[in-house]
Amino acid sequence: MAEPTFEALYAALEDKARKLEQGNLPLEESLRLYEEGAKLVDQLRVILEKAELQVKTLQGRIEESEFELREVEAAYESDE
Amino acid sequence: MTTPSALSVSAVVSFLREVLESNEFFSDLWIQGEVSNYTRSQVGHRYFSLKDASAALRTVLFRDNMPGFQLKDGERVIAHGRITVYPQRGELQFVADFVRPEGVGYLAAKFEELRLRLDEEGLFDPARKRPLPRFPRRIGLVTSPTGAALQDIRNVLARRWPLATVLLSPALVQGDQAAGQVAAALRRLAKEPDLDLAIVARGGGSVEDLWAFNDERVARAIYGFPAPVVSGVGHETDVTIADLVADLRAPTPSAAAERAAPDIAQLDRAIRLTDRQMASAVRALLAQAAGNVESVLRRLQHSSPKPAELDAKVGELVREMQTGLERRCATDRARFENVAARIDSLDPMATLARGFAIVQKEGTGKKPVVNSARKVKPGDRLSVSVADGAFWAEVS
Repeated sequence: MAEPTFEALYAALEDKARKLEQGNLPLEESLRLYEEGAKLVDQLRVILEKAELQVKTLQGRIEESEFELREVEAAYESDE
Repeated sequence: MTTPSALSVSAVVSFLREVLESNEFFSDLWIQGEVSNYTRSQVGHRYFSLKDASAALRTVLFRDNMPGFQLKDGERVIAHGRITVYPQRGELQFVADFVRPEGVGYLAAKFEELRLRLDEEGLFDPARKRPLPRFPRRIGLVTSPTGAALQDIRNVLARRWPLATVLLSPALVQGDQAAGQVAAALRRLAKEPDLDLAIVARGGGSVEDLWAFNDERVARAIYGFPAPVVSGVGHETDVTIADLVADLRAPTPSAAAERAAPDIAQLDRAIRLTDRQMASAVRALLAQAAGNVESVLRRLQHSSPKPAELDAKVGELVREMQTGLERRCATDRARFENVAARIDSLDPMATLARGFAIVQKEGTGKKPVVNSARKVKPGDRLSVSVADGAFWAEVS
């Protein structure tokens, strides 16, 4: 199973915070939202703390420069 | 069999014209020379010769391509256009589509011609600029594998947004091959799946050094790129065609990295702020619940015919609590203390310490909070949580 992404967790946190701040929820529900939100806060901060930039270099012939403009356009079109 | 015969003039001129017009060199030319025999036709086209010391070339400039200055005999100009044959006279003709005074210089003229042409075609249209993703995971990078731009971008991203993976698509960024290589590197990158955005970057240099980024191939590769492109070429003051086509132009490679990604320090602050705001909302709810308890108690006191007896009963219950409640409410308390510990910076317990309490109905599993006098009836057993513990009470 894939780890949830930062983006997904952050969106979940924003969602819970929004619901919580709108009020009009029973106290139990609010406490539950807060507990879940607090867990997300911890998960997000762990992700930020552990992150390490990765740099990969694409393999390809750097001398591959003599191609026509048409090929660029054809390559994009075939992707669509 | 057809009888062999000489070719018609039309056939030869038409063939000559075809040869010229299908030749790439002759269909995209920059020529500089002096204007002579300048005339203007009734419909507004300009006819003149471009000449130098030993040659001349008939030239036409159609009225849709008027230069922004007054053409006249003796003017030295630089012009872009194509060579064709004017069949009626069998004359070579240079069909110019862009003319500027020679003084502006070759590179500046080339830049302006391409800028006008691509602008007209819509490549710089603000409406097609794509928004950048908020949290890019895979960032493509086209730059030199040995240049300062790579180091700058790597440093900025390592500091600000280390959650990213950078895919470097290497290219020479200077010299005759650079434009073709940058366009090719973009094409390779375009094939990578799940790319969130791309950065095209090069450190500062002279106009000539940056020239690859004023190339039509690079412009079209950026325009057609499947994800948003951020450009960071040269210094603040350099604006290249690549900058104009890019979805976002940053003044330098470092700035491109900064604009492309969020800052984890800022995000961490935002996350902690959200945490505090949530805690604050919970605290407000607790205060509200405590207020409800007070009003329940007041109503009980007013409606009870024997408030003194009620007081005595509560006192009794408090004593009961001292012996048995700790155990019975352990779970709820642990849970509550968890939340309380979390929001301690906001002093959430202060509400209870001020004398408010949380009243919950006894029940299996969930214990509904009593936030309305209508929710209780005589005989109901209630759990009352206060600052330092909880006790049971009965509605009479």
